[in-house]
Amino acid sequence: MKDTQATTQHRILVIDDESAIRRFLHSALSSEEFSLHEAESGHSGLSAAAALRPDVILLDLGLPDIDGIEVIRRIREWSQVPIIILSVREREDDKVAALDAGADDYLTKPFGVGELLARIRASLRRSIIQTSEPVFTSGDLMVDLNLRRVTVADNEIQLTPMEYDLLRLLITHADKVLTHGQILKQIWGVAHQEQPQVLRVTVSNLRKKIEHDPSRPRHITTEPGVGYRLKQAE
Amino acid sequence: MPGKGNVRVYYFCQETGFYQGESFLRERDLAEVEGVTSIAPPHYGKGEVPIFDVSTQSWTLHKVQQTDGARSWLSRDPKHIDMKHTVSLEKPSVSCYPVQNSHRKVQGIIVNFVVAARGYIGSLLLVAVATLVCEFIRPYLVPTNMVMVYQLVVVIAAVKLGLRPAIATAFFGVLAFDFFFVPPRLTFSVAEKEYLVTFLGFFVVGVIISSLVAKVREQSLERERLSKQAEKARILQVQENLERALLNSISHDFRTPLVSIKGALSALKEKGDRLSSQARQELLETASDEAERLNRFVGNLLDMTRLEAGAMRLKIEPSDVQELIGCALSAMESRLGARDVSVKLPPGLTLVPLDMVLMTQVLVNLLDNANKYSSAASNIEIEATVSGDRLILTVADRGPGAPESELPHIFDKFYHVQVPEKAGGTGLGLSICRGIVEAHAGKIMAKNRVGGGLVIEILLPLAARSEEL
Repeated sequence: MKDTQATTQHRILVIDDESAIRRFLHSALSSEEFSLHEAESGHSGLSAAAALRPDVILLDLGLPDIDGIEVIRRIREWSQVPIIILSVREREDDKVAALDAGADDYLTKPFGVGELLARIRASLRRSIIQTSEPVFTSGDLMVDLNLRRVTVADNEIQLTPMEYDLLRLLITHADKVLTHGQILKQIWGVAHQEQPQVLRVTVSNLRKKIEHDPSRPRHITTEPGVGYRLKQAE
Repeated sequence: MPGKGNVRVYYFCQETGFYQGESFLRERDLAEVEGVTSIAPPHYGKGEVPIFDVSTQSWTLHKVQQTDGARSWLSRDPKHIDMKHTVSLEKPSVSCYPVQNSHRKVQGIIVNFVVAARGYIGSLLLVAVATLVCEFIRPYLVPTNMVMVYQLVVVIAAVKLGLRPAIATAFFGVLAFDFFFVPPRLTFSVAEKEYLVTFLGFFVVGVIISSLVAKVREQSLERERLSKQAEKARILQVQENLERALLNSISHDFRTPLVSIKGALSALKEKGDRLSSQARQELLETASDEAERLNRFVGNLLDMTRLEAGAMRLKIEPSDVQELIGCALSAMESRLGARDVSVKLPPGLTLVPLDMVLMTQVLVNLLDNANKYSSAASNIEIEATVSGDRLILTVADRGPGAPESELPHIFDKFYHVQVPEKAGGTGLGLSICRGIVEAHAGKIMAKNRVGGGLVIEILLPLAARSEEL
């Protein structure tokens, strides 16, 4: 196997046609922790993904040859490798489409290295730890998934079944953004896909119970126009 | 131009045939005039424009000599374009009848014929009406006095139809008068010679009236045209001023952060190893902050152009106001720092139909302003209340406020209140807010607070609008 030389190094594949961005990512990410590989088009990216078997893929949606969403679909036909989208602010619909097509996360250009590293590490963590821990803790929030017990600063919180299901779903995808559509489908079923208000109300109620200040949520954050993310404090 | 003063210019577009250049131009046609795009039909070249000359009934290709401002017309309302200012044409370079467009030429002739014929048909109708009227009053009047009825329709023709149809009316009037009323009736022969004098008098007076009316009409049209031109010139002037303001704003607001970024980076590149670690850190932070500022400017400009182009499609969904405020606060987190921001919400507030992404932008812009214009120690207050069928969302600061006379203008594009140096901005933030709020069928206004400070109030309808935007 090719990867025996550096088993501790994670391989990152960057698919982006902008050479300046590839250069920046190369100098920012290449380290003992990561080795960086580059592709400048959708086709070369797909073959690199197959040949290289990267641990994380960073994908620009605006590629010259094939649509980025198509790249996600083709990779998802054979691999569950984490895919992080790099996209500009104005394209919320593209982000949702990419996430629904199977992308794991997105970063809005321009982004800082800190943010990028956090996303990459979160993706790696999710793909390595398949079985989630029975007890989730983040800051003052603690959720015991076996006992269905939720505490905030050691005070037990009573959640409705709907609120608990939502919280559990977010916890099993901690640090990953879930689109409105994905959450609605998982919890309320396909029939409720067109009723985002039920999700909004449930999130609002859940925040009132678990957030210290629901106007400044620390646990469940909103990605405007895209979805929700449960942040796990280190 | 061929046939000076008497040329009708037809620009044609590929799908719809042609239309008169004087009436209006559309973007596509302007592009054709400019000759810079591939939509120009293949038979004429770059910088050429085909013109159909009515007087010679021929197509000619003209070189476009001057297309000054051509690019900027594209962004303007085509209805405001005055042909005389937009294109001046050299002598025809080629005279031709393009094969592909021969049917359009025929169409052009027919249209002209119909327009001309309409005037003469009108004069015939007027004479017929006059004849009918005279038939009714025949028992009471001697034939000579009936001439006055015909004279009246000549005047009507002169006012409504123009010079030539009016003269034709006078001519037809003489014939009809002779035929129907001058004895022997229903013949063109004249029994008494004095009627010939009546005919002549009637015709001459008719022609004189027609030409006088025509002259007055021309003068008033000319006046109207001149005042329209003045109006157009004024609009162009306003637009040019706006464009200049935009350019000034862009070059200033974009260059300032770029100067800092380039300066900081070049200092690090050239003598980074000789700088203290503290100085290095400061330079890096400057570059990073300024890059962030530049990014916000770009975002604002993009929003503005999208709002203006009407390209901003709202995605209105029932939304949680607390969530909206949370998103804005989270986006502003690094800029607000440790500043106290209080949030007041009524208990049990229902979901409000709005576009989450755009309204977050509105709140971010308002918070950014409040943050810039008030001292870091003062409090910013966000409050939502419901009044009747509307949500009232306010962002209040304890800054200097604005002079009462300027309050209505602070949402205008490129408007700046005199502010301390650090508060530089594009002057676009608030006008973007207004654009977005108005797209929600809402209202935004500014007031000074009792005790000092500015409060921006947003009114949003609570009920979803029936029509989708």
